[in-house]
Amino acid sequence: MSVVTQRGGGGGGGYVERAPGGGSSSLADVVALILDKGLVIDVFVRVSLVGIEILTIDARVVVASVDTYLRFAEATNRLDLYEKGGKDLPGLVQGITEGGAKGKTSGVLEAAAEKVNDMLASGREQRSEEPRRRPVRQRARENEE
Amino acid sequence: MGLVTGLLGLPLLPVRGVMWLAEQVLEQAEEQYYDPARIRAQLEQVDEARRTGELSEEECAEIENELLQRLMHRRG
Amino acid sequence: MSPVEAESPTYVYGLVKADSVLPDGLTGLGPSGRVSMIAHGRVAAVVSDVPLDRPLGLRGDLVAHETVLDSLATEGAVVPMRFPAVVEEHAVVDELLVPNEDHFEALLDSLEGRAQFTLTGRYEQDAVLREVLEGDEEIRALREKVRELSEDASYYDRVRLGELIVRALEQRRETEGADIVERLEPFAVATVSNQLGAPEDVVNVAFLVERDRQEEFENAVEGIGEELVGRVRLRLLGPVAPYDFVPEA
Repeated sequence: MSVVTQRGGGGGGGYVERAPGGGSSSLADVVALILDKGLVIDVFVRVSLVGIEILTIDARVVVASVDTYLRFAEATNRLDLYEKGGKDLPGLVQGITEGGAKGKTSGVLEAAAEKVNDMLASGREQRSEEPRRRPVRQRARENEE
Repeated sequence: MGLVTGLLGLPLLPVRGVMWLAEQVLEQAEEQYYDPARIRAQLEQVDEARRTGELSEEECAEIENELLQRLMHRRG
Repeated sequence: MSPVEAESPTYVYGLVKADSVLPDGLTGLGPSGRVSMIAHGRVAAVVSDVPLDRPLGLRGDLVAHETVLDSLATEGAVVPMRFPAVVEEHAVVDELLVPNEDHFEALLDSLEGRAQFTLTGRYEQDAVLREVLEGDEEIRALREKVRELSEDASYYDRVRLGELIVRALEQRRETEGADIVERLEPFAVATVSNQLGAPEDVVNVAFLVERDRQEEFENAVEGIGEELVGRVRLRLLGPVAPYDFVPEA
């Protein structure tokens, strides 16, 4: 199923990507809409309030990781400002979509792309990408004074 | 003697540094594995791959279902 | 109305006014593919059968859930259920509709004639990184330092550089994001701000917009998109059912 997104809305400038919803939504959109929003059947019995409120969904704090920092450092390094030449740092990741008219793929998705490729490679045999448990932590504690 | 102290003193700092980073990475690995925002980003990436033809429909569906399972698992 | 059966799992997509007419072509996620209504008093649940041979959660299930709801939303007010919502058939009336008829009716009234749009925006990476570099001496200096060093030697500096950049982005988006929302708020009756997932995300906000202000709203978004071209990429999802504008309980 291909995603139908059109550029251009009412005004016809084409500056905003439009996703009409319904059956043509990307799975990422669907997931964002229906998994964390909407009436929850378990708790409806406790309902008493009426009216639209401004809600804050999702109180989870997303912590940027070392991974993210490195990626941004990398992207900044590769930026060609006014200077020519300079060190050619080895690419941290290989994006699966190169440049092109569509515009540069956002750097943060490159790692996801790599993961997607990895997932394919590891394929059927082992799904486990699960993080290993933490023996290292114990050892580190012991080593620290 | 200075050398021995040096040898004893030095490794502690970088090793600790590396351990600490490894710890951080491991700690965050699990959070990231199930982090909905990250999974959504990955879903977007799969979608992009589908669009460019980088991944076949079958491959996309397989990865998507895997990612969905992670999302559902988290919500447990 | 079908006779009450023991253990007849029923999937509930959402709630509508009892006098609603279901649009044609709705396809449910159950084996029959049929979607129907179970009404009580002034409200009704939109329901279907459930796949019994496997747990819910395949892509197709989620898509079916949203498709049904967005279709319903084009016809009238609907209160979306969170995915997944499965109850026994008799419970639809006994436990869902009967005890909450008034509340559900009020919710539906408040959503009548209104649709949701979700606006997301992302920084164009190179453009914003250039801005950040130009605006911050410390970051510029650190970048220079990193370029001189080998990959190994520069590890901690690179982490630090990235960290500073992420901070800078977060500061930027706080103002820019708020700005965008402020300009669009006048066109909406309600807004919900969602958690931003990545440092280059600028905005992720749901707007509840009256039908007759929809075009104005879309034009306003387009206008902002034009102003931000090259720096921020905007994406507008909708009109969809009002997922963000329903209290959990």
